[in-house]
Amino acid sequence: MDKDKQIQKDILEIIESYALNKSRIKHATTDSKIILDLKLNSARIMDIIMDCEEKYDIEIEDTDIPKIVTINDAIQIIKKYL
Amino acid sequence: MEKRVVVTGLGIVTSNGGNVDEFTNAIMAGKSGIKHVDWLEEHNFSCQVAGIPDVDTKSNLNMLKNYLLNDSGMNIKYGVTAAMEAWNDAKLEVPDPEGNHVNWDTGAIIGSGMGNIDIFTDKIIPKTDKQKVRKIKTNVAELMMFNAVSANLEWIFALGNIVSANASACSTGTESVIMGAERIRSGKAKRMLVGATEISSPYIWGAFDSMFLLDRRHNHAPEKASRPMSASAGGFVPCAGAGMLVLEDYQLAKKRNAPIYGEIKGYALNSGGQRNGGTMQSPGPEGVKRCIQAALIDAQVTSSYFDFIAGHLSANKADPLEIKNWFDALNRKGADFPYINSLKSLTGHGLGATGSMELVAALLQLKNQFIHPSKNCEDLHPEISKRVDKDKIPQKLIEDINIKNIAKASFGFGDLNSCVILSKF
Repeated sequence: MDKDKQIQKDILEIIESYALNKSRIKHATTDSKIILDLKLNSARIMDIIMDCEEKYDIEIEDTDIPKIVTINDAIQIIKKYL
Repeated sequence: MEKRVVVTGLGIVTSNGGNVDEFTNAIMAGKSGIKHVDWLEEHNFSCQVAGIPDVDTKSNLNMLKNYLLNDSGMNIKYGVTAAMEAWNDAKLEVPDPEGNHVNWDTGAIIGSGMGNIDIFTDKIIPKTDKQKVRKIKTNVAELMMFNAVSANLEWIFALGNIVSANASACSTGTESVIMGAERIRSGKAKRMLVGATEISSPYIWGAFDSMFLLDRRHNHAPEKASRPMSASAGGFVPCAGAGMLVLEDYQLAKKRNAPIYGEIKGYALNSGGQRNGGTMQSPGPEGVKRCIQAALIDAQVTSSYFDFIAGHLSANKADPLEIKNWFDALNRKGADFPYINSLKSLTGHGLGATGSMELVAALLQLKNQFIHPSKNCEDLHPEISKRVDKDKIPQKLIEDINIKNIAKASFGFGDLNSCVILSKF
């Protein structure tokens, strides 16, 4: 599995733990908007970032957080810190 | 015209029953839920027994997981578990969590004596003290706030009327029922989910242990520890859990053919001003008497109306005083005194939740026409036995009895009093 695919899988696993409707996560693509398309409580984006930081032992800077809208955005930001 | 208020659903989480059926069987059998608690011993408590329910069963965790609440706080776990049971018991539909319909005529008042201490100790203080505030999860604010349970129930049941949380120490649970009933009676709501929750925590119970308010003589015999009305009572036994009730405007309940446990005929709330014998810790006789008599007036009944009193009776030195207050307020004695028992003899004292647990028990006794045994008072306190015939304090289950009306009172720190009159429907 290439790096992007692995990070996507990890992110979706994290997102699923915050999602009421799990089936929506199963059908997510890299273009899916985390809050709007996957219907997550908007506050949970910080939890997802915290969990990603813990998973990859990184610390995402506050200025990068607003840039995360889609799954792909999250993949690219995480890669930047690896 | 004032609306009549009826109870259409019950839910409970206690140490001797995780749901209404288990709880009914337990109180009928006089089964105690009080056990030795290792962490009380490890924390060097003088009292090492308590009643702690288990809500982490597989099926219950799955229900909580549907709302992402399986890793929340104990008050939420207890409260949502009991409220879901009460809601289903009332034959109400559980809405789609992502749906748009709002129940504008239904609200919730869910109290607690002490609040969500576990959220502070487990989720906030450790990270804050390690300078890792950024790592505090975003749901912590919504779990720590005092109205965490009612706000989560608002979401689960799509409530659109008043949604709030009350606190009046050990009077909280009874007060929440009164506040909900008042809302319906005045026509401002048609249905109210009401009750209270309380968690177990060394950081709550320690404060009572240090005051010598908890029993410390029965660590070797937990089931004997809670001894309301006994001459050998040594203090209360703490417990955790929740009691929940669905209250409805009678016309609505009738229209939808809902089950009815009983009617909330009248009620009163007051405080004693911490004067004339009332203190921060103890209810003053004048305030208690006035509260009971105000509830009678509110229900438009006389003192001869009652068959049964569901007492507050915590197993401390205030028990004889409580009996004297009932005696003075009702002017009834000896064999004429109503039956009286204490749920705390079986569950322990649930602090803020205790009134709602005891109201659930009272309504089950009213509906099913029994009086559960009041355990551990075979040696009645002499100040009680001189006023009440011992047969009126059942040591064993009384079945097939004709109970028409019940008085239930709760008393809390702050000299706070509450009294509810329940009637068979």
